[in-house]
Formats: sequence, C-alpha cells, structure tokens
Amino acid sequence: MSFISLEFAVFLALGALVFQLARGPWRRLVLLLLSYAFYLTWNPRQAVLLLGITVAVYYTAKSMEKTASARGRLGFIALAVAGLLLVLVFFKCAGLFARYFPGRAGGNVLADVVAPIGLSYYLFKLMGYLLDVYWEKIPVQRSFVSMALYPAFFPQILSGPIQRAGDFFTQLEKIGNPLPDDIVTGLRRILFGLFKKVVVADHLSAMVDAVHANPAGYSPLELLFGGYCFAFQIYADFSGVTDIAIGIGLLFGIKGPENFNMPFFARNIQEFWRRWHMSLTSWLTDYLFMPLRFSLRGLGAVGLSIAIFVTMLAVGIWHGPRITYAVFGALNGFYMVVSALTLKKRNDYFQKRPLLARLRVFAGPLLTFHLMVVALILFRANSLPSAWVYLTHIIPGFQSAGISTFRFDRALLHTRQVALLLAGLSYAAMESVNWASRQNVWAARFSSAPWFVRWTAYYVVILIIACSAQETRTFIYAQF
Amino acid sequence: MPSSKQLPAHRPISRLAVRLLLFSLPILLVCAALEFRARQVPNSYSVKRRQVELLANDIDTLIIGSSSGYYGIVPKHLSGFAYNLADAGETLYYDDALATKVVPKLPRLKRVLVQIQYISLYITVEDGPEPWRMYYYQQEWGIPPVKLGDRLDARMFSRVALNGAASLGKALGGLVRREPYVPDPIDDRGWWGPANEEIDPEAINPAGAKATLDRHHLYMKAALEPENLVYLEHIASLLRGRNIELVFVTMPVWHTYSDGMNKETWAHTQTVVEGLCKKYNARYLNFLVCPQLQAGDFKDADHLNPQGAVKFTELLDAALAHSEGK
Repeated sequence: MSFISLEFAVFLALGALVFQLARGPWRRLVLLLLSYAFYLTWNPRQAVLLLGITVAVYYTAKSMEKTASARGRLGFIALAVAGLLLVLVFFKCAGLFARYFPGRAGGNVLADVVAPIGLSYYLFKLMGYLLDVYWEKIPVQRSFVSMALYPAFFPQILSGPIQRAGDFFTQLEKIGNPLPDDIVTGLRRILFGLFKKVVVADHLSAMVDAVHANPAGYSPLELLFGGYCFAFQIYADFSGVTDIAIGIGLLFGIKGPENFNMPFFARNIQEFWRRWHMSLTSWLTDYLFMPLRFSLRGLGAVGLSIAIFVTMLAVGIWHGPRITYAVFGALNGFYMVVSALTLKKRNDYFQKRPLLARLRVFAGPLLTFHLMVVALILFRANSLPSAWVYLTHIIPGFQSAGISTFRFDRALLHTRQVALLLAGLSYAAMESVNWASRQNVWAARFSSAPWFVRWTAYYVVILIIACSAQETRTFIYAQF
Repeated sequence: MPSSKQLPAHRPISRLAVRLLLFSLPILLVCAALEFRARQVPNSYSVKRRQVELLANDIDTLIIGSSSGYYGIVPKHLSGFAYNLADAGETLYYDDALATKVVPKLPRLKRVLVQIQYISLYITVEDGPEPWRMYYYQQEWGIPPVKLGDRLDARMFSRVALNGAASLGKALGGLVRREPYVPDPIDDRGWWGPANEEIDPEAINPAGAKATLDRHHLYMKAALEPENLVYLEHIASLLRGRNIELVFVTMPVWHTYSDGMNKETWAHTQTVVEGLCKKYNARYLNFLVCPQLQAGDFKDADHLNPQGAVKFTELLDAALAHSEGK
C-alpha cells in the first residue's frame, strides 16, 4: 500500500479514528497493529522477518543488560551488529550473485530474494538502539509492544526518517491523544509532501530518465539541465515522503525528526550534509564517524580525513550494492575532506577580504549546489560508464558529433514549454513554502488567517495535485 | 458530567472533526461525480464482455490468451463463428477464470483455442509488468485477484483510483466532447485491428527483440509453473466435461525473438503441453516459427500486425481443418 493511494487514505483515516478512541497503553498496541497491517500489505513474509529481527534485538538488549562483564557485553553487541549487517548485506547483495545460481525459465535461485521494504531504515534503527543500550545512553526497553513498534512504525518504515530510539520511546511513554493543532500541522505536512512528490518530483522524472537513458545523445546544455532536474527531483521526492511521514506521525502523537533543511542553500559541503538526509548523516556521525574519529585521534588530520571519508563512503553504500553509489559516497568523502581541511584557511582568507566575503555568500551555495549536481549525476547514472559518458559530454566541446553545445530540444527531453514553466514555478513555490514555514511570522499569519482563506489555499493545492497526478511513481528512497 | 479538566481536550477535537468533515465534503462530492462519469467510459474488457453477451448464441469458437492472440487471430477469417476473447497481458489464471465464466453461457461452442507462448507457464499478472490489469478483470468480469492484499486495493472498487487523474482526464474529455472513447480499435468479434498501423522496423531487429526478451525474462519465474499448470488443467477438464474441443496454439514470433529464447525452457513448455494433449485428448498447433510470414507481417518481434494477423489466421484455419480431417 503506497502512501499515494486511495486505500492508504482510507487506512489512515480509520487508523487515526481508532487511535483517537483508544486509551492508555492500548494506543501503543493500536499503533503496532496498524504498523504491521500496513507492512503486511507489502509482503507478509517480510513482516515475519521484521518481527523475527525485532524479537532477536529485544532479547539481545535484555541479555546484554544482565551481563556484568565488559567483554561479555562487547561480545553481545559485536555479534548483534554483525548479525544485523549480515542480514542487510545478504538481502541487498543477493541480486549480485543471482547469475551464479541459474535455474529454469531464464531465472535463478536467488532471483526471488528481494530486499524487504524499508530494510535499511529499520535495521539502522535497531542497530542504533542496541548501541545506545550498550553505551548506556538509554535504558533497555521493557515493553515488547514499544520495542516492536519502534522499527515497524508505519509512517517511517518505507523511507525514514531514522528516528533515534531514545526520542521515540520518550514520546511513546507520554503518548496521548494528539492535540488538534498537531493534527492540523500533520495534515498540512502531508498535503505539502504530496505536492512535492506529485507536482514537482514526478514531473521532472521524464526529463531525468531521458537524459540518463542515452547521455551521448544530448547536448552539454541539455545534460546540465538534466543534472539540475535530478537534483530538484530527488530533493522534492525524498523531502516529500519525509513530510508525509512526519505529518502522519503527528496524527498519532509522534513527532519524527526533520530530514531536510533547504540543503541547496548550504554555503559549503559540510553544511550541505547537515541539511540533507539529516537523520542518516547524524546516525552515521554518532555511530560511525565519532567512534572512528576517537580511535584515529592520534593520527591528527590524517585520522580526521579517514574518518570523514569512511563515513561518506558508508552514506553512499547505504543506498545499495552499486558501484555508482559507492563512487557517489567516495566523491562526497573527497569533497568533505578537502572542505574540512581547508575551512579554517578559507575563513581566514575571506575575513581579510570583506568584498570577496560578500561575494562568498552567493558563490558558496552556488558552488556547493553544482558540486552536488555532479555527485548526484553519479548517483542517478545507470552504470559507471554511463556516468562517465554523462560527465564528459556535459563539457562543451566533448559532446557527440553533430550536436551543438547550446541545443535545447524540448521534444528530446520529453517535455514542453508549459511543463517546464510549471515545473519551475512549482519548485519555486515549494522552496518559498519551505522558507516561509521556517519563519514564525509567516506561519502564524497563515494560521490566523480567516478560515475561508486557508480552505481556499488547501483546495487550490489539492486541485493542483489532482490535476498533476500521472502514472504513480514510487518514492525514490523507498527502494533503499 | 465531564470534569472541567476534560473539557478543553474534548471540545477542540470534536470541533476539528466537524471542520474536517465539512472540508472533505466538496472533495467527496467531486470524487463521486468523477467515479460516476468514469464508469461510463468503455475499455477493452467492458467492450468484450458486452460483445460476448450479445453474441453468446452464435459463438462456436472461442479464442483466449494474451496480446499475441488478441492482435494475431482474426475471428472473421476463421471458419464458423469465432470470437477473440484474448487481451493484452492476459495470463493463464485469467484464461481459466474467463473460460469458467463464459463457456457455460455459449450454447453452440465447439472449440476453444488456448494460446501458449514462451512466457505462458512462468508469468502472472500480479508479478508482471502490468498488474493494474487485474483490477479491470475484477471490475468488469468479477474475477478477483489471486493475492489477498490485492483484493483490499481501492482499485478493485473505484475507477477513479484505477485510472488516475491523467488518464481519467483524457477519458472524461471524450465524454464532455460527446465523442465515444474507445481504448483499442476492437472489431465486433473482439479482434484488435487498427486500420493504419505504423510499423516500427526497429521493433523486430535483434536489439528490439532482445529488449522484449529481457523484459520477459525479468518477469518469468520457474516457481510459477505449478500454479499455471493447475489453471491449464482446469481449462482442459472444464472443456472435456462439456465435450468441447481444446486446441493449444502457439503464435508466431519473428526469428530474432525465437533465437534469443531459452531453448531448455521452451522445450519444457512444449513437453508440458504435449502431455496435456495426451491426457485430455487435445490438439497442439505450434506456429512459433512460421516460414510463410515475412518481416512485414510483424508489429514487433513477438506480435503480428493486422496484415500478418489475416495471413496467419488463414494458415491457422487451414491447420484446424486439416488436423480435424485427420
């Protein structure tokens, strides 16, 4: 059951109603049942796997708590994390080895091994929980219902955000009927998420698919445009599903962590990664970067560089066993290392040159955005050779023979002038709302506007979404 | 009487609920109107259902199968009164379910042609490239999807949910302009036959055929064979019980397609079909490689174009008469 479907709307409405009627600890049970009911609609066997892993983690944490010796606890955590990583690697990499197990009908033995929906998200949640218990940051969760709800919480299981166990359990303990204001905020977030996905992201996908299918057939200008389009598409798509997840969570009294903070306005790469997929990067910072940084502290700048690079490589590989994801991570690792090692010198340089410093305010975000466009071309490419063709042909003079540098053929890009205009306007509208929602004055003004003004705005957005809806496309980050 | 502490918590939520209902009302009304209009838009399933109902007393030969049969067998060029009930993407589960529904309603039915292609035994609609088709079978024929999860899908009941806004807009546009919206050029015997179809030479070249085969291999799963065999056996026993002749037919493909097929898989399929023929006294006409057809007779590597369909149907008719004579 997709978030963008009529049956999900009915499921959500009924679920929210039942949750409103439930009292006390029953609320948690209702949420758990709703979460598993939602997950079962995707694949019942995968729900059994989720439950099995949850049971294993629940008892591992309890056993770890009872173990007095430090070595014993270390053994438990090492085994548990290795086990969870093994599950992740098995399901993510089964397809790579499928060709070695041929079967009849052009198929193979491992062909049916499909990575369970949301595997990366719930395994990272559970790993984080175990590590927090091991480091005694949080107590062991006694209630199995709460424990089972944490990885399975249905708004977050498809595409995150990766909420920390401590935050989730604290909210769960105090869970009551959500306040009307939270419900309204939640519904607004859902609507905004739908707008991002259906109106912005889905309408950019045709152009992105076209240029990546045959990059050699496009001009440098068209490829550059395709690169921009993918950056905007993945941002609208992923932040859209995050908005929907946070919005749904609010309907059930759980506030999920934010995942994006207008990343394309970041002044440098480090800031970009503090604003993009924030729940994953903060997870990796706490559970990978910090321990690495600590253990390599004796190596100084080299240790810092290694810790940064490995963390960014992990960000890339987290998406799946594809070379393009690994190279995406490595390239970002390179950006980050260079940025981290030169930051102080750059700051000193600009401090002495106020005029250039003013220019930096604009040039910084522009440069960061373009660095990320290059990285995202690698991320989206169908293969590494295809990415190479894309990145070489984007350079004027290196395009295929007979194609001019500034050719911009809308037919080849599978778009029309009106569609481009609407895509641009809707993206601008999206970022404007993003900005306005962060300014308390604007948010308050909208909330205190007369009801007919607000309702008209909502109806207009719903109408735009309904008119823009095309063949339903899954959320890009639901595959991870 | 509720305590004063409870009042602030309950009052706003009930007020919000009323507001939400009021807000949703216009949306629900628009959806209901759209659903009403959308149900008046015909599709290949509704067209065929109505035609079968109308022609029930005349049909003596029924064709069931997927797109190869839908495009490639012209009922008017077969002896007797044939009807083509095949549809694009149709799998053996739906062949069986349709036969079960339709056969008892055709009093003059003497023969059923069941199409067997390279992919037939190893594919299902729900795991194939066009799972949305199963909702049409439910809405038009009352045939439920195999999986329970699919039976809970809103597309089972709602045409708005099934079509989506964009395709719905096109269909409704036709209604507003008072022009009939016909999804496929279907003739009055269920055959798909556009008058002037553009031929894409790329589609039958090795690259085009490979792309088709790659797509087929992606969805073919050996594990689906037992399930599909059950459906075939059910069709065979249904027809034997009614003394109706069963003929398995393999439609022609261009050599670029047959060259790329997994030989072992295809040999296995043929063995299975021949086994069924022996068990149920059925016939098997295998036209996979058909030298009488040229490249210009194909729409793509595994489908005939209208001209090829006429040519092939005449060959099929002769083969049916010939083997009948034997």
